[in-house]
Amino acid sequence: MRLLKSLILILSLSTMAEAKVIDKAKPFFWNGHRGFLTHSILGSACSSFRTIKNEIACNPALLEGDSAFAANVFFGDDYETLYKNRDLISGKDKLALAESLLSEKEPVRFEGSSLLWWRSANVAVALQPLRWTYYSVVRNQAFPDIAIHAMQEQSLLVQFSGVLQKSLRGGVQLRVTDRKFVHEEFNLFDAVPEIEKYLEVKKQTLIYIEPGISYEFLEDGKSHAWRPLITANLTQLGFANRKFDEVPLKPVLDSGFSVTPPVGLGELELGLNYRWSSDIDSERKFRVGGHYQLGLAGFLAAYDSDEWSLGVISSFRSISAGLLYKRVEMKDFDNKRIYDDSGYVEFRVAL
Amino acid sequence: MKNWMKFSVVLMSFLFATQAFARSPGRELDLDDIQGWNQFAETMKTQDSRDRSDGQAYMISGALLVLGGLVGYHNSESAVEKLAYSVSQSLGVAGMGYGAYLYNVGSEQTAFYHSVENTKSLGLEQKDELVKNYVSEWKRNRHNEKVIRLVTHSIVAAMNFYNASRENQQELKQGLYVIGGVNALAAISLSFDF
Repeated sequence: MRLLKSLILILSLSTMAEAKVIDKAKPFFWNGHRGFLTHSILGSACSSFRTIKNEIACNPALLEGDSAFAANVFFGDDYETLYKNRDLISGKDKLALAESLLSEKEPVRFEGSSLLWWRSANVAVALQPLRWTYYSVVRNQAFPDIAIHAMQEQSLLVQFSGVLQKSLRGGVQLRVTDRKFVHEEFNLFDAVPEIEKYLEVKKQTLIYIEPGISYEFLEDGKSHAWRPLITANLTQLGFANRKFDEVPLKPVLDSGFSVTPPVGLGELELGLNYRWSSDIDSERKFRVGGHYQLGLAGFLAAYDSDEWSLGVISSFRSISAGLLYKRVEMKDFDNKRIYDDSGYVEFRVAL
Repeated sequence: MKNWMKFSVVLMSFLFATQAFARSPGRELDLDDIQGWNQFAETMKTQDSRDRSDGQAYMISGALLVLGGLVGYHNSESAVEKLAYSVSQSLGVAGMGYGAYLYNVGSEQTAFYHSVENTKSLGLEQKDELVKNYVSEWKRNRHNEKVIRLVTHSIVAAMNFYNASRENQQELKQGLYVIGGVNALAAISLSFDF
């Protein structure tokens, strides 16, 4: 029995030691981001924010308000990375691509998407024709170790929401996602004879069912001045036609609290969220966020132990443009902390 | 910047420009449930105070966006970030103008409300009749506006689909299909309102 326990311990330690660098990068690859700047800034805290209006809700229970129909694009400032992503997925000369990675002195992290969406008070539909994610990091250019991720995703989602009881709301999001990806880590010299195998494109179709609830504390049956709200949102709950070890398909629970302290001019909302993931330890953490809407400008900020984001979005009539700056802490091959600073933009046209 | 990215930026700028000026200025009030003068006057009083407060918010936030955009634009080296700063600045200027309009002029119904309110010779019955006629006219105009927008989006969609079907350059073809699709969806969305 003791021998068995020792074996299990050795096995689990060796598994931990072999954890890939690519998996230590923040798993933004798989989270089904919808391509809104506000969602990207607030991150997990977004699931308890009500002042983010006229968008697809982070938490389907909070889908309410006016109808809207819009198209938007969201992408990082390192948009030249798109070509690498496309080449990697489309199966062009992969050796040339691997060689071009060697020129990268710093980790490269990119995310971008386009979205066409419609929402009413209780129903929303969003078509995401393309979402790209990319991450690469190279160690020791003389004998290079490469960690690389590239993904292209298409998805369609539908949200429904409704009042379950006076101050209790519920909602559900159904999402179908079709993805192609490369997610590998290798030594270039070892991999050269079989580079096509190392950079093989994997394909997967997933169906997610993601429910959410929210409860607002009332005062004598009416809304409190600070409108305290608690929320819960279960995501990444679904099925896949093909399973891959590198793709987590286990539930993530976001439980949050938010308030809207009265301010003289504009609207302020502050929120705190705890994310629990059954799969990824580093994702179990608190995130705090704030949103201040003044006229046509929305100012947002959020922070957790691995990331901080700041952004502003300006919306006037049918047009929105926004910018965000984000600093993400990741780990490299030697488990050393590395930082990725990036800027993202979003443009939106309401139709 | 690659050619298709340049093309996308130009396309987006064009879409923004056409959309920004596609709609009439002023805030739209929902008058669907207004039955008579007293209800209309109550709604307008609340609206007046909201217009002044929103007007201030738009002027302040517009000024912040213009200033922030100026600083950001000249400190950024990324073309798309510069574009975002530039669009934000334009929106900021437009927002300041809109804020001043809201603060000083108010909604489209403000002039009508003050005209009727200040005509002392009108009794409640006459004011009720005027409001009912005004609301009925407003509903008719709103319906016509929707029809015009539906037809416009449908024609733009058809035109882009036609051009896309005859285009050989693949990236331009995709771009035209996207514009066509977006406009077709806009037309379908508007048709739900009838």
